[in-house]
Amino acid sequence: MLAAARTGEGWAAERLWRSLAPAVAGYLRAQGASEPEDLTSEVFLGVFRAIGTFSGDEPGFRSWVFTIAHRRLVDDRRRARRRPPPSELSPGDVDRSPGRSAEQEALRRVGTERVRDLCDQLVPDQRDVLLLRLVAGLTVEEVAHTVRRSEGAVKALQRRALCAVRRNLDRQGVPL
Amino acid sequence: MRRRVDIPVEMHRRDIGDAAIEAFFSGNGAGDELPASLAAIADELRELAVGPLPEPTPQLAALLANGFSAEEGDLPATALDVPGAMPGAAAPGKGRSRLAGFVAGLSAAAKAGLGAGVAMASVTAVGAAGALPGPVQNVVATGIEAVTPFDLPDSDDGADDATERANFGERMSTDARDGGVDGKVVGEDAKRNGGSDRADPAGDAGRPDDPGGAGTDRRPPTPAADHAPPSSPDAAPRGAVRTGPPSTGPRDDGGEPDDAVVGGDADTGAGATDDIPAQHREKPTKAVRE
Repeated sequence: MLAAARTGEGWAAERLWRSLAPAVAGYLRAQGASEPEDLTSEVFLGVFRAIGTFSGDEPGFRSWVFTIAHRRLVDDRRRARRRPPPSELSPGDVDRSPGRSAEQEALRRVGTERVRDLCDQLVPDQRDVLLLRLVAGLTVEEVAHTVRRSEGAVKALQRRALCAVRRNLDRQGVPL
Repeated sequence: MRRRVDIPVEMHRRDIGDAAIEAFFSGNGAGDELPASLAAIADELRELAVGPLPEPTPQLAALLANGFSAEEGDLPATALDVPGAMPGAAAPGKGRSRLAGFVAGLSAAAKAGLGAGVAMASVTAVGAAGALPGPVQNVVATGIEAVTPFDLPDSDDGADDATERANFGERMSTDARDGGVDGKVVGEDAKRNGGSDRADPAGDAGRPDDPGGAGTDRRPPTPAADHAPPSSPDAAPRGAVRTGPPSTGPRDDGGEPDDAVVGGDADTGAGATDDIPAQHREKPTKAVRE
């Protein structure tokens, strides 16, 4: 599939999009991106634009895609600093997948907001590492490459992130 | 200055082992070292990765429907400095990247052909400048001259020059006998031949003692002219004397009669320097050389 995508085959590109776009969008959403869906499309345009330069297997490709996503996110944050803050999230903005009921969607949204609240309480570096490990599913080495830090620094950040989340849950009264 | 949120983290450093943390992030559980609430948060975060498929933008939708050409760089977005990208391909959209993409897309045979073409063009360009080693230059010049109207420098050109210089005296002599000699032309030719000598160490055709330049070419068409010894120093062209090696031989004529006939006061200024003793004539000679 990767080989076909490198030659510009639309069907291969669509399969890559379907397999990775939800995770990329979830990562961007958890990171608080202003327009996660549009940004996801931007990420994949970048992916397909540079796919001829990629060499590696599918796990490596996943890491590569999230590296692009993370850097697009950094760009998005820079742009966001120069424009007015976005309005509050309205119910109509919630993603509705075809197979989900309204109740499932509401639960998912509550869960997302809870996770977002927890992530917002982390410092950016800790949040990056936590989300890249849990949402993107990258290894320590891949995260280190994505955020341009050493593996030791990533391990320290993920430890601190866990402890910070644990402490925040304790504050909220969630039983440990 | 330490951030406030980091302080409690340091306090927990010894509470959780590295193995437990790695197991937690890998989805293998963390045993008793991490609370269940953290595992629940991790599950919620992982759930984000399997959420709904986002709606693609129209541009991406068109790409997914129709495919794309990564080689031609027809996509506006780009990915810079990403792992897996080959060196030198980090700036798509530039001409270099497009060329690299074009070459990368060629078959092995096409790449070989392209390489041979580039090499041939390079050799042709250097050959046109005459900068190749002698035998190679001859081959390249012969080949190019056979298929183009251009005349490239080769070793034959040097031979032609030598022949031209060797025939200089004879040509001047003939012209003088015909009465068609022009002092200015003689001076310029002699100057040109003398200059060529500097570039051709082996060439000595323009020297005063050169048999080829023996010339009675500057002799007036008098009866005595035919009896002048061919190697006589005063018989050499004025320009050849000035541009050739210093002459140590006697000069008994002073040059005036010749000047009067063959135009020794031509642009080369020969008449003036011929009046100077030979040992002093070296300096103007060097000046001309320079």
